[in-house]
Amino acid sequence: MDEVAGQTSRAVVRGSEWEREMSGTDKALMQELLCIADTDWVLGHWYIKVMLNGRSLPDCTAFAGMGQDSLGHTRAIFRLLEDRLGLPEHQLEFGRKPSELHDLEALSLPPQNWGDFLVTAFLAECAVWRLLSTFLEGSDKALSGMVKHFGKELYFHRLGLEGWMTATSDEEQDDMRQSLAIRGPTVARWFGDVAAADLLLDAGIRAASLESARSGFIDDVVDVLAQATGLEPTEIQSKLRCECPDDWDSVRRKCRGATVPPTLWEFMVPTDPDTVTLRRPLAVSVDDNLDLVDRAEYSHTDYA
Amino acid sequence: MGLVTQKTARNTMDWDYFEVFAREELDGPLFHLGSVSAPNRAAAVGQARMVYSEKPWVEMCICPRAEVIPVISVNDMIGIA
Repeated sequence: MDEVAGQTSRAVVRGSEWEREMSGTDKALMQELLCIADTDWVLGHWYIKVMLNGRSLPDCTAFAGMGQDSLGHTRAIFRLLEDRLGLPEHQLEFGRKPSELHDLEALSLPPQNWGDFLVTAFLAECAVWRLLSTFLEGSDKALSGMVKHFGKELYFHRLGLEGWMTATSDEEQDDMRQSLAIRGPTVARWFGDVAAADLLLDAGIRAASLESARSGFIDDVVDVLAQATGLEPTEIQSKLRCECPDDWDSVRRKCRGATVPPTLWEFMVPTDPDTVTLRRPLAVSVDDNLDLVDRAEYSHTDYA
Repeated sequence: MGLVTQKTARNTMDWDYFEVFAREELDGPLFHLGSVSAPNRAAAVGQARMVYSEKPWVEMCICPRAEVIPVISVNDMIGIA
């Protein structure tokens, strides 16, 4: 049995037809991957919302492609977790409440302008990649292969956003500087207390530490943001230094009680009957999935 | 939800065009896929990858349209003084 900081690290997952125990490592991996997948989930919906603000047809198409990638990565991680943890398919997308999401808190405030959108999306993309890349050389080969594939696509997200950030007006640069002051600390603290014990690193599933991920994130963004905003690198670094607040939830990587705003959640998982009707039905839906014959439709799971 | 109050008009006509090429197989030809217009090379690379992602290309490259050297041209009678 795995032990973390003196706590019993076994969680019991109960379903109506099955029951099994989740090891501490499984649970830590689930929590970490949910932080990444949920952030990509929200970010993908940002791209969909912003898509029509593109300046040209290829611009709009590029945003659509980025949204498709982000949502694709989200669902690939959801499928991996559902398969490994024995959860019913689509439970992670359709069977959770907003309060159960592990999304990046900085994405809960909608973009206020074009500059704010670019800075926030760029910071989120860099943070997601750096956290993902800690699994790149890890012992979990299925996961590391998936991360490698994601990385090939995410590079172009960052490059595209970098290109857009360096082609902004003076007014938009002002917006980017303001955005960095507000969003920067919230994204930087996503890496949490990098000195804390790391079960995944100890188990070899994560080959790089959170500390190296955080410093890699800083290295990735400082020069690009300096060029885009005209700020000095030291000034940007100072904005990205942030201690975790007292009410920090290290499992969800955000403040306790912080949830996705209702309007954003309704956009992600619509409940309005007209919107649900207009949405393309899932090829394999939660309701008619044949696999559910052998498994519980929903299982109670503690995601925290 | 906050309202976007500032909108900056962008003159996309000033953007450069980039031609996009890709290879589907290692020993296959380099196809011309189309073009993108972007304010700089980084944005053009990002756009090309996102826009022309319909196949798992083994190679993709772009070049500024302005740097393409014409050999036979619809606009110029090359070789005729």
